[in-house]
Amino acid sequence: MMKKALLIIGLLGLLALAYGLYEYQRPVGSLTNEVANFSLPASTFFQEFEADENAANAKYLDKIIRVTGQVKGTDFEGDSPNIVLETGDEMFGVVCQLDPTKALPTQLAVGTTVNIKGNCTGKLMDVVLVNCIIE
Amino acid sequence: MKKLWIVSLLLLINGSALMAQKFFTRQGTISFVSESPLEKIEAKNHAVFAILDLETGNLQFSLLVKAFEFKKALMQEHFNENYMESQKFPKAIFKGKIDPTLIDLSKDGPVTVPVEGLLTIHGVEKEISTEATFEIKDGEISAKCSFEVQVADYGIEIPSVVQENIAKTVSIEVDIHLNPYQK
Repeated sequence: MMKKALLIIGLLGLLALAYGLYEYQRPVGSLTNEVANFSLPASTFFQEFEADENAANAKYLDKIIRVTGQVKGTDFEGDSPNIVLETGDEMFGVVCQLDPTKALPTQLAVGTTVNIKGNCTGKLMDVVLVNCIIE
Repeated sequence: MKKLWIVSLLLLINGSALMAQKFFTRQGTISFVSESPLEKIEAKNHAVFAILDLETGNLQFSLLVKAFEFKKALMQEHFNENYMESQKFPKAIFKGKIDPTLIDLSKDGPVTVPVEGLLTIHGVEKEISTEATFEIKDGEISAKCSFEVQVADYGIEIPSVVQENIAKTVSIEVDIHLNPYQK
């Protein structure tokens, strides 16, 4: 009786350890299967941050945002490939840093309309989304 | 005589317009490493915004704390939620100055430049003083800088449970490439 109980406890212990190790090693996941919390045009998204940054932060920080917009520029060279979306602002836009585990688009012309899903990290001069996937 | 006056005035205006050049990037890289006997924690941020005004020597960086990328999700979560409290303090900012006369855009090559200014992390402002290596090439500016910060200086609390895992001193590396700001 005692032996069986010990065996079960030991097994549970091992399972807990395995789970702990898995959690510890878990890399930041891709957003492919995640549903966006918000879906809106890039210009509206940007405007909300321009109008009231604190309110926009409270609403959007860490959430998964699906933005639609026209490509203002792309940068696929270097460490951190990204796409900048038009917001109507002369200088600044929504910067979408692409998920490094996904293949880069071969071609994306300025002016093309795209849907991009990413995690909101806030606004410096541009609003920045990370871990982005082009849908 | 009048013509000479006008010409020299025009030259003066043009000259200062050339000198009043601003350089910026929205893709600067800042990484940090915390090395303790038990654990090495490192992360990179590729969305650093930096602007350098060669007329005044003003140098400003800002970054979003949530944009730091870690290899392990748990580390990223703890970093944001427990240590940096990035929901409360989403940005880290540096407002500083260099001596702009040390930067000669016509001379390709590296130059070591002292940098001084106010660094704000986790809502706490501190004066820092360090050196950066600026590299000029074809009228473009790259800059690299390494310095250390004491975690406690910025009000970042490390619970006793993880004291052995997180170093008290963190090494920060800045690596940016600035392009002329065209309006």
